[in-house]
Amino acid sequence: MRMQFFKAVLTATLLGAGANPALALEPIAGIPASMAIARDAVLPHVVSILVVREDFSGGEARLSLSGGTGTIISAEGHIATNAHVTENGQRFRVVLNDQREFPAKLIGTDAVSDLAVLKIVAPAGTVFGYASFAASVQDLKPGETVLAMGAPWGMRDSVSAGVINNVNRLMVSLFEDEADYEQSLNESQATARYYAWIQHDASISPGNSGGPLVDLRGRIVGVNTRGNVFGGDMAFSIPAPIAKNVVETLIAKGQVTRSDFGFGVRSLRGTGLTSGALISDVDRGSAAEKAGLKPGDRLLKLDSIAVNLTEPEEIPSFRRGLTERAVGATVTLDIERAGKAMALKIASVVQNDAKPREVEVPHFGISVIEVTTNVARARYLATTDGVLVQGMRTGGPAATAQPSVLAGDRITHVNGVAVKTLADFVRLSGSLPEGAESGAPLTLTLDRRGQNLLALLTPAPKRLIPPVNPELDKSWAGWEVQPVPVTLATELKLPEGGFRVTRVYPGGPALAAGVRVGDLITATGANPVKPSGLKETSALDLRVRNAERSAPFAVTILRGAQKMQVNLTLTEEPKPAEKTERRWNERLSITLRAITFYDRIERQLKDSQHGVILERVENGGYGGLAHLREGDLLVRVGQTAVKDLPGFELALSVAEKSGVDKLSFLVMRGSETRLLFVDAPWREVK
Amino acid sequence: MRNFLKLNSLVALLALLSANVGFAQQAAPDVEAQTYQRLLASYGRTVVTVSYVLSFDAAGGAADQRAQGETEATLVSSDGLLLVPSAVLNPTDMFQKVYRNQGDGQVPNMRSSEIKVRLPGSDQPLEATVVTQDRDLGVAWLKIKSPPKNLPFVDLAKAIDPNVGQRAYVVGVIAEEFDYAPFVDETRIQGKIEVPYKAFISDQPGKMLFASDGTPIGFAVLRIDGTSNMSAGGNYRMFATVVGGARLKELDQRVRALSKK
Repeated sequence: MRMQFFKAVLTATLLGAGANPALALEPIAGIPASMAIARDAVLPHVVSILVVREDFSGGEARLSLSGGTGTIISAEGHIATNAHVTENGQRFRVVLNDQREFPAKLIGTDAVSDLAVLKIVAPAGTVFGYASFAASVQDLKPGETVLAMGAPWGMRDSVSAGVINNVNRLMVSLFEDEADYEQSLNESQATARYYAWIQHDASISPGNSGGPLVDLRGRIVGVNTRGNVFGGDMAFSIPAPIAKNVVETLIAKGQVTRSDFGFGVRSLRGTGLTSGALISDVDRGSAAEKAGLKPGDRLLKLDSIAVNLTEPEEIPSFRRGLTERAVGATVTLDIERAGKAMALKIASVVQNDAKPREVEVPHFGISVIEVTTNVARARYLATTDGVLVQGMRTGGPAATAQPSVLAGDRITHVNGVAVKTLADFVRLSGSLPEGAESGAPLTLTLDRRGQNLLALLTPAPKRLIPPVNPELDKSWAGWEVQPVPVTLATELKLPEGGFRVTRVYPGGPALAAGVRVGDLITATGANPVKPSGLKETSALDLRVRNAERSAPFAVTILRGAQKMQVNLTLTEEPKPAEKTERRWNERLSITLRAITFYDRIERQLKDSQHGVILERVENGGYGGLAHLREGDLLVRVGQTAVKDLPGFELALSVAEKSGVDKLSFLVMRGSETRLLFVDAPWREVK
Repeated sequence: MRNFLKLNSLVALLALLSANVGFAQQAAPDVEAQTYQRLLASYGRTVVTVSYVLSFDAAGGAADQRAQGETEATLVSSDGLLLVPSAVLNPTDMFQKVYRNQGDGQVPNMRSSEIKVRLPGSDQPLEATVVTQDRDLGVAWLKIKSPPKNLPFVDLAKAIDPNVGQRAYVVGVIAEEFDYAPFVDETRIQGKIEVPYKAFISDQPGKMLFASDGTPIGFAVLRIDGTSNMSAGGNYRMFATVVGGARLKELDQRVRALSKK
C-alpha cells in the first residue's frame, strides 16, 4: 500500500484529461486493439500482494501490513512487482484473479530499478497462467490508451484507463535546478538515475504499485510505480523492456550487479556549452577521485566515443550504459579542464546501493545498521567497521547507559573486542537467559562524531507491556451514580442535590442493603455529599473508596419523598480492566488480559463463561492476520477451550503440537460468535 | 544595708547590661539556621532521584509512545523503601477532574515503569519496583531491588499529624548539574480536609514535611483542579494536599508488611 509518491504537482489545467480515453486504436501490425483484449490478456495474471512488513522505530522492530500488486510472469509462479512493495517484507501472501490464495517468497529485489520478484509457494507441479512484458515499447506514443490493473487501496482486480502522457519522463521540472534534481534522486528516487518513466493518466492509487500498465494490444508496457500524492491524474511506470531485463536477472541470479565508476554527470543545459557533458560529482575515495577526475571537468569522449548530453533526459541512459559494464571494467575519459585536454582511466567497482540491513538488539534497547560504503560516505566515515546506532528505545539500557548511547553513534568495540560487521555485533552482544532481569554490565566503545567514548551498559530484557502497578485495596459499595447538583435537583423538584443511583451491581453491598436505582444519596455518615458538577462523581466515590470496612457505612438516601438511612457493609473493590494482569504473546503479536467483574456485567457474561480478552492486536502479526480484534473475548484456540491466561498459552501449545496448518480462534465479538483462521505460525514460509 | 542593697542592685544592673552587651556582640543564635542545618544533616541524604519510563497507550494497534521522566523520592526505610507521589506512576491522576470536565471525558492511559533510583553521591542507577500505592491519597511506595546496607531514611514510625498554621519544612535536591545538592525550604500547614478523607492543605508537593525538630508531619502531593480546557489557559488551580503523619505511620506499617512478601 506504500505507493511512493513524488512531490505533488498541482496542475489544475489537467482537469478532465483522460476522462474520455479512446476506446480503440487502429490495429498496428495486424494486431487488433481493444480494452477487452488488453483486459483478457493480462488481468487473469494480476495478483494482489499482502505484505507483513518489519519496520524500525525508536530502536524497536514493529510489524505492519501493507499491500501491492504484481503480475505472474512464469508458469512456475514468478511474480514481478515493485521493490518498494516487498521492502522490509517478512511474509508475503498473494491472491490470484481466480480467488486462490498462496504464500509467496522473495526471490530477489533491486532497489535501483524499484523491481522485485516473488515466487508463489504452491504444491509441486502447479502450473500458472502468466503474462509477458513487451520486449520493446518504441512504438508507444503519447495519447495512446493504456490500462492500469491492480489493487488500489487493496481493492483487487481493478482496472482503470488513461492515455500515455510521455514515454520518456524525468521528474525534473523546467523550474528546478538539475543539480537539485540529481540530489533528490540519490535520496529517494534512485530509479530515475538510470531509467526514464512512462507517464500516463490511468488512475492509480496506493496498492497499485507493482501492477501492470497494459496497452490495447494486451502487452504489458510498464510496471506502475509512482502516483501523484493528491490523486490527480499523473502516474509513472517503469518501461517494460527495462522491467523484463531486471526481472529476468533477479530470477536467474537473485540480484542485479552494477558497475560503479565513482562519478556523476549532468547535462549541458543552461551552461552555454554545446558539446560534451559535465562531471557533476566525484565520490570520495573512489577510483575516479584517485584518477584525478574533478567536478566541473567537461567530459568529451568515453572510450573514444564522443559524448553529447545536452538535455537532462539524456542522462539516465548514459548512466545506465556505464553501470551495465562488467564490474572491474576500465573506461577512458577524455576530458577538458580549464582549456587543457587530458585522458583518465577509471576502473569500476561493484555498486552497492542496497539499503543497509537493520536489526534490533532488544536487550540493549537499540536498533543498528551495518556501515555500508554508502553509509560511510554519507556520514563522512573513513571506515566501514562497526555498526551504526539507528534508533533507541526510550528508557532502555542504551538510553540509560553511562553516558547514554545516542542514535548516530558508531559502536566499534564491545568489551574491548573490535566490531567489524553487523554479524560481529550481534554475536558480541549475546543474549539474556530466559527470565533474567538484567545482564552483566559491559562497555561499548563509541565513535561519536570523531570522539572516542566509553559507555557502560547493563543489558535488560525488553518489557513489552508495562507491569500493572499494585495498589492498596479500596472499599466498594457496588453502585454507579450520577451527580444531581442543586440546579438539576430544583428542575427535578427534589428538595436537595446529591448522587442518584444509576446502577446497582449484582452481589454488591448496595444491593444487599436494599439500595435501588433512582435513590438519591445525600449524605455519608454525618457529612452531606454534594456534586460539584454534572460529570464529577469523585466526591462520593472517594468517600466510599477510603471508608473503613470494619464498620458499617451509613448513607442517607432520598427515595421519592421519603428520607432514609441505610448501612452498607462495604467490600473490597473488584479489579477494573486497567488493573488486571496483561500478557504479550510474541508468536501472535497480541496482548491478552483476564475477564474482570465489570466485563461480565457489561457483556452480560455468565459466571461460567471463560476466556481471555484481547487488549491489543498488532496488525502485522499472526493475530492481526487472523482478523482478531481488540475487545474480542477469545474462548477457544484450535480445539482447546481457553479458560484463562495460562489456559491460552496451553491451548496454543496444544495446537502447535497437533501440527495443524491452519490455526483457528473462536471469539465472542459483541453479540456474535466468530470462527477465525490464520496460517499456523509454525508453518511459516520464509 | 540600704547602701549595700543599692550597690548590689547597681552591680547586678551593670552585670545585666554587660551581659546584654556581650550577647549583642556575639550575634544572636539563629534558630532558623540551626533548624535548616539540622534538617539537612538528618535528611539531606534521604532524598533520592528516580527516573522512569512513561508509556502512553496508543489506540488501534499503534505502537505505544514513551518518554523518560525524572523526579525525587524520600527514603523511608534503611532497606530501600521509598515514598513518591503516585502521580509519578499514573500521571493522568492529577488531571482526572480536568479531563472529565472537557471533551468526551476520556482520560488517557499513561503508566510509568522501568524505575531506577540514584542515591546521593552515586551515579549507579539501582532498579526499583512498585510495592503499592494509594491513588486516592496520591502516594506510592517503591523498593530498591538491591539496596546498599543501612541507608539513611525518614522514620515514619515517629510521624505525627501537623496542626493548621504550623510551620513545616521540606528537604529537596536541585538539578543534576549541581550534583543534586540538598536544600531546605519552608511553608505552613494552610488548612485541614475532613472529607472524603482526612488530610491537610499546604504546598511543596512531592516532598515530606517536617516539624522544626525534624519530626515527619506529612507528605504533600500536587492536585490540579479545573473546569476548562487547560491548553487554552483556562480556569484551573493547583494546590497540594498533605497526607498527615498519623496516616503515613499507619500506611507505613502496612506497606512494610507488603514489601517483605
